[in-house]
Amino acid sequence: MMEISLTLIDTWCKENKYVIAGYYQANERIKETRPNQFAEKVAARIAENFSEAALIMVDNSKISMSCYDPAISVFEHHDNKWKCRDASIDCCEDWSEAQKIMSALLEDRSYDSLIDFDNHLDDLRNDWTNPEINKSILHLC
Amino acid sequence: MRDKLRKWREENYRNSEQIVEVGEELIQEHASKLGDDIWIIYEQVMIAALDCSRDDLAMTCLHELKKQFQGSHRVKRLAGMRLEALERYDEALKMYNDILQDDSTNTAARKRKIAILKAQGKSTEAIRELNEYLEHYAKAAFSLEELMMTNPHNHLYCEQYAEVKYTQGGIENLELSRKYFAQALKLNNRNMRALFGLYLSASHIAASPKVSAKVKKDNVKYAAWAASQINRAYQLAGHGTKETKCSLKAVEEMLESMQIMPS
Repeated sequence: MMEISLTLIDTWCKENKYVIAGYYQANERIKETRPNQFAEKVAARIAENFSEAALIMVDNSKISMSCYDPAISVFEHHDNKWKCRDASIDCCEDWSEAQKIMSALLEDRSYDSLIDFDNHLDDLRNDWTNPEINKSILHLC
Repeated sequence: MRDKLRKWREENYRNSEQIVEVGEELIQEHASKLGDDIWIIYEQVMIAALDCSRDDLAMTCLHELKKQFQGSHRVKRLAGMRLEALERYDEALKMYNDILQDDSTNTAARKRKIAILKAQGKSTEAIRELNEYLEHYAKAAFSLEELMMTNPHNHLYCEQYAEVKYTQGGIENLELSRKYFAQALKLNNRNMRALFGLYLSASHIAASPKVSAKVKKDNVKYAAWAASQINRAYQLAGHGTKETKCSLKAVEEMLESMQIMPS
């Protein structure tokens, strides 16, 4: 289904003047923060269409209502390998803003209504573009 | 509230936060009215509490269950799960090994042992234990094929089997996968994964240089049918809003772009 989801999302992106710019993954095991083969393969496929693609690994042990340190690490494609960007370089435009928005979403339990592509396949009416959540994020900005 | 908990139990939902919310109130305010149901509710709430890091609640439930069912393997397994949640893996392992010494056929304990190995990142050992577990029950319903035979009406097993075959690749496996996707659809004509799977497998077979002209022709037909069904499903799901009009177009274009024309 990865084939289907990437193609469908890519088509939608072109329609709406977006581009698939990267892939993020949060591993099942909290202590495992490195990308696995699957993540690298998906990100490499994305990089074929967008050379500056980013592979982002979420560090769940760092996620809390008030995390001052960024909870993500960004990997970039160099020489066919995914290398972690230096953690001292800012990974985000504005982490403290992002963190504030994230806390608000966590408190509201927005994750209960978050739809991913699997949910979409279960019921086509589930919208993987998550318009409501995206609206809330804009409100919170 | 009782009915909600029962529904979640029966459908195997893992909505732990909700279970804790509903269950905690039920236990605290209405325990006396629950009769014998209370024990299974304690179990359900305890597991959910572990998911939500509510060790206090988990202990309360475990305490009551221990009092009522002294020496029970089922309760011992719950105690083991709590130790796992606290990452006290060695103590948890001891619990499960105790159970297995008493009763070597206890699948729940075996399953937990594998879960511990997985949690510790010891994948090779986990796989070894898993193989032992499967060998022990090799004849029983632990492979997809057996599951399908004993559950012929279950479209999900069919579809999962089809996906496995699809991933394995090669013309024979693709044809098998197409057949099982088709079977899953017969059992549930709204299974989207089966529909997409049918489309992909038929398209790949049709595009292969290794198949005869007749096989190509047949698979082009199957793929075309699947594509029309996919379009129809999206049309039915849409409500004519701007967003869905876009995704309808996206689906059509996606199907076109993936169309592998026979040479």
